[in-house]
Amino acid sequence: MKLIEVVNVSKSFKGIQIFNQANAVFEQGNIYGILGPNGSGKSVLFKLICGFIKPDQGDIIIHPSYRSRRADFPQNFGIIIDRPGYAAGLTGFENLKRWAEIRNQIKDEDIKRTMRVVGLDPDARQKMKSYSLGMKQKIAFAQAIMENQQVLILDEPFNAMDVDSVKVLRELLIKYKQEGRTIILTSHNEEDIELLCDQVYQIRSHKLVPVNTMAKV
Amino acid sequence: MLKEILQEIRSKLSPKFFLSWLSLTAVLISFAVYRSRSYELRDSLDFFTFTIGSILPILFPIVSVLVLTISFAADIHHRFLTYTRMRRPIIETLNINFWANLVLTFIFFFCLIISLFIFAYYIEPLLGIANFNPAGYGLTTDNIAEDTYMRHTFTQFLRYGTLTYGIVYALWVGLNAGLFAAIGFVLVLLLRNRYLALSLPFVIYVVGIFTLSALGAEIYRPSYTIFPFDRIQSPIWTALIPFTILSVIVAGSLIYIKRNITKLGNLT
Repeated sequence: MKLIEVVNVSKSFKGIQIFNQANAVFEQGNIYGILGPNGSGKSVLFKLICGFIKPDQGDIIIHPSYRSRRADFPQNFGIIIDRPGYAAGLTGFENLKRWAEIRNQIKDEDIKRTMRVVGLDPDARQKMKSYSLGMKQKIAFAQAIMENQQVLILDEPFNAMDVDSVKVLRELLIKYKQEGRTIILTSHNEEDIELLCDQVYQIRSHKLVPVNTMAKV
Repeated sequence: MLKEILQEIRSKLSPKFFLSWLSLTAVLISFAVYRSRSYELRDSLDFFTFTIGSILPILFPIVSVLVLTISFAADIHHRFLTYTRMRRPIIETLNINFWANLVLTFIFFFCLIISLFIFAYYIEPLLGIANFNPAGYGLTTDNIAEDTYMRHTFTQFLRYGTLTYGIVYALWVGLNAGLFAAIGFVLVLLLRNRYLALSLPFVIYVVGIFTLSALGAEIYRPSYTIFPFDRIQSPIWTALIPFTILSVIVAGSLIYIKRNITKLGNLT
């Protein structure tokens, strides 16, 4: 099933071309990698997919089962884009709870369980302003998965994480793929791409160019 | 939407919020008590204007923004709002934050003014702190009430009872505080530099004072329309003019933000 289609998308910012007639297809149940140097447009692609910004030309087509009439963004997507987000004066748990309260689909225990999965202590009273970057990244990861999101858009998901955490979260993503979830990620670490991805798109000359790769999962 | 706004208000009603209100109330009362010993005042209205008219007119736009807009700016800066976007339309999130911000700032200032009013009219007379000498101003028990009705803008409401005046004036200051918080709110969304965005309400307030004074339109100065204690009474409608103009500007900015939401880099 074609879950996300990028069709002839062009996008520029202040005269700088990011995408020009770019095309890509993301099917359900696969892990996709997006490669490209800094500033090539990886985050822009994710923002386009999520509806945060609109293409100048072309379309982003999301499968109807992930759309809602009421909302201007895809449903059931978990995201990390650019860098983690947080309310500085709250604890990690309080941050996740505030996001969870918006849809009110999960209980406190679900949040705590997710925090443990990503390697955080849900009972820690430490405010997020004093978290390390790696810990903030784990909170970002937790909010992306805590509501059982079926599509994960992850921009550098393992950034600043320790080796053990990366290993655990890689295994988690593989498990999610086996469950039929769809994951699109970027990483500067070739090993992440090699280990996880079924297909890779490289951003080259403002286009998304498929790169053949073997999934080693 | 109302439920979400109430939920947001509840989440922001922290001990810090109450402590800030209590501290500011205590500072203003202490300052008024200290200063009042050097003056002979006419009545409780004089003491009330003493508590408000000292440092609050200068602090007003700063405190209005500090109550909540500053934490909203931090939430944007730390990208907390970006991660609400896959859960709720961003326009809805902004609406919730806007109204929660406005209501809480209103509550903060309403409570502040009403506390100062209660202290001046109901507690100070029991303590006998201030030095009252209405006769020194040529006032007697027969004409002092009539004098208060004509003393400052909004004291017209004293005709309908002391408490009526206190409540109406506290509502007025609360509304203006909410308006300045709203100005800060839209600027935080429109400008990349949050420090500039948070300072601009104060700049607008100060520039408004000097510009309107220079133009001979002193009765429309924001400091005077909100804290009308340094001039003779003006009709109440004069106070509504700058409030209405600023409200229209805020409403226009909100419409612009709604129409250009995908172009606002702060929220992606």
